[in-house]
Amino acid sequence: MALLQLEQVVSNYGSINALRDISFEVNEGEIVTLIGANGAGKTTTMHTIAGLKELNGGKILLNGQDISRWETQARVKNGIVLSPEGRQVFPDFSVLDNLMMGGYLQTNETNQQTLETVYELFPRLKERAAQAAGTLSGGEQQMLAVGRALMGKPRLLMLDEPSMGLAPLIVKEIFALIQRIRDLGTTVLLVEQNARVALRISDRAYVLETGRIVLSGTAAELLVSEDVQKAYLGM
Amino acid sequence: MNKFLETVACNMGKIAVALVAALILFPWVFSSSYILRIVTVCMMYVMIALSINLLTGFLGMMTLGQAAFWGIGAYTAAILSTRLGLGMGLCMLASALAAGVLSLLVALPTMRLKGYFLTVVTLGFGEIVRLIEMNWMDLTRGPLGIAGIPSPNFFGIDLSSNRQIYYVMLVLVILSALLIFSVVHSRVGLAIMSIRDDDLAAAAMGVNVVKYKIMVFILSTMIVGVAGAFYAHYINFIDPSGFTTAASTDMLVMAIFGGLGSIPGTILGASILIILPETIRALAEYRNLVYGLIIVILMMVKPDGILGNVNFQYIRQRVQQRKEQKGGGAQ
Repeated sequence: MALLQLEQVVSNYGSINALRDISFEVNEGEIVTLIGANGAGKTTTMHTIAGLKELNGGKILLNGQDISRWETQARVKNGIVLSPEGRQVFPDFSVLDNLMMGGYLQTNETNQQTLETVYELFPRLKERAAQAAGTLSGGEQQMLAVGRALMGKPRLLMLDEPSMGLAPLIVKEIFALIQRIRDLGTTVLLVEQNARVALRISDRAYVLETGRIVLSGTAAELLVSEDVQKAYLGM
Repeated sequence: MNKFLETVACNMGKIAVALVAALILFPWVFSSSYILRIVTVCMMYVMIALSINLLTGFLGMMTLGQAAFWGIGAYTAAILSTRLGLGMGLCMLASALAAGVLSLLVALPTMRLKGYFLTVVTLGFGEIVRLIEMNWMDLTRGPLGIAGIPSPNFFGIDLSSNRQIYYVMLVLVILSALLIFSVVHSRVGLAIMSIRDDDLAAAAMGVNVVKYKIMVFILSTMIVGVAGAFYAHYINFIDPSGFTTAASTDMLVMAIFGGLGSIPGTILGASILIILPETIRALAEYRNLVYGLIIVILMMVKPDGILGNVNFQYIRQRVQQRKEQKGGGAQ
């Protein structure tokens, strides 16, 4: 059974259909990427799964259980954690307080343990624990955003455009860390415009176009697919 | 400047205790009723500005209707004490309750709104409350106001001397400062500030954004409601002219002047804006001009307010970290 399954999910903003009949699944231990142009519905998909955007049709299943009507808090508690687009760290909070916010629904004890793991993955966050998050570099803020999401003890970690606005070298570093996170046992659902880098670390991918899934397959297949190369890899 | 802030940050507890001790001794040093009155009023505005800071500074919701809730508190206390003969303690409880229930009514339909929408709603609410105060003759006596409100008393004990009133207000301001301090420095406080910084990210972490917004709004108006009850008992006479939008704006200015999101800043800001105009009373008609100039200049020099953007807790943590590193280097 898939960890996460979307069945004909529909999501609207007023009269505009953002998602029309989206169906896909994410299996335990996978890295799955959604690729697509601006406005294709990638972020809306993430928000709908997280419960930040209401569902207007279809179903979302977590381990076969229908969670379509669950509040965001319940979804976070059950391990669906989103790291939002654009490194939305809390700029006035210290690094540590940002991380603590990530573990908002966890007990203090759990947080202390998870904090060790996060510091191990991102040693720089430990050095800067007392610094205001807004003063970190772009790459460090992205690491903090990922670390903060990890504090929620995700089974499914959703990362919305982790490469946004970062230098290629930093992007490489971040994606290596995403792989490590998966190897530590967390399933990852990734949204990326930077399709090439994302496909390299992914197991499978789906291509979104104006609210529909137009293509799917293993990452290796999509990397060599002519359509994908033309539209998203700029070849 | 940094050194100074660090020293202040590391001794914040001592400074707070010293300030409270000074305020306790104050009426025994200065017995002039004029001075006691200024400091009493000043402490009341500190309490009001703190309530605004909780809502605007920590939660990030600008309000222009705080004077309306202040008025609701004042009218509740005035009506209950003059008609039913209730004492000040019960009146304050009732005032907090009345402000809380009415703020819940405002909050339920509007707290899903963001940013300036709530500001407009509070502005409209303030006008509605003022019109009710003006026109519901049977309840509020309209523009005539309510006179003969009993002076402060506590379960039969009369507290009507200047010194006693001063201490009543001192207790109220300390309690509200402690309450707001403990809320802000708790886990809930972190959630509240995360809503201010980024409500989407906060929601993604599992914070119930709407619930916390409603809770903070109610708490803030309850505090200002109690301040209103005190005001009614203190002044003995209230009419609708005191609870206008202009008063709300003044209160908001105090919070912004001191620094949104800073409790010490609010205390400093409200105190300066209340005491300073008194010290330049000799300037007569130029007083408001000077008052206005001070605000304009401060906003130009320091747009965040006196202590806005200064987080003493983080400064303390940084000093701590530096000490640890130094200690580690020496070994």
